[in-house]
Amino acid sequence: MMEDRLSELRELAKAVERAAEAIAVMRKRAKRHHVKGDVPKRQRPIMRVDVGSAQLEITDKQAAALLVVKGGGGVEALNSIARVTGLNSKLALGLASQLAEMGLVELIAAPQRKILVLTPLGWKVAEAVEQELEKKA
Amino acid sequence: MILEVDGRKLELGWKEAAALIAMRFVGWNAVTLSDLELVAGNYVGAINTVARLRTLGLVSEYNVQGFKLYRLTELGARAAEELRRKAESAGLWRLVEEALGEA
Repeated sequence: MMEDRLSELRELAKAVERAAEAIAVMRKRAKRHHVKGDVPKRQRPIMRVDVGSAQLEITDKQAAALLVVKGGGGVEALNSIARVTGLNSKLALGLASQLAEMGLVELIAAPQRKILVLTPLGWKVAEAVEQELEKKA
Repeated sequence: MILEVDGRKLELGWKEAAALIAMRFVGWNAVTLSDLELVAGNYVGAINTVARLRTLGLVSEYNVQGFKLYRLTELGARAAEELRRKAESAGLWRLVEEALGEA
């Protein structure tokens, strides 16, 4: 019993030591990839979507980003959003953060790579955007 | 080691425990395979560690354009918190705090 506890403690000590070493290296590496997002200023509202009792105003860039993520099956890389919307990585990250604050996507982020995942609300809004744009076409 | 989380007993090796701690406390919500190599020591170790963590429902994998990101599930986050609690009570947590302070 005592031996089991000691062995478990040794395993825990090894795990904590290795995790601490890895965290230190990961955080040093991350400094090379650090980008702070800025919400793009030039966004044009194109539609309103009913969400329960409220309405969400969707801009041209938000709509484009949602459609790209939907087209990727609900998961897409941030650099695809940047490519489609014509934004640089700083503004694309700002746009993604804005969509995350609206509850439309989850931003899954490692310093080297960021992806967007549509939330259930995001799916609903992306489908509404798609239908609206099809009507206009 | 055996962790009890939400009434579930999880049997973890030290590499799996280290991966959970690193993923939870590094300061962002996803890691790459190359990050996990730092924990496991090499590529094969990282693949095996993440496979085991996924089997236990502790980590989710996102594969976009051939690039994989890994994130803790809610159960994984709770398991990492339990590891922290154990490490704190054994006086081991200082190492992680120092790593967070250094960078």
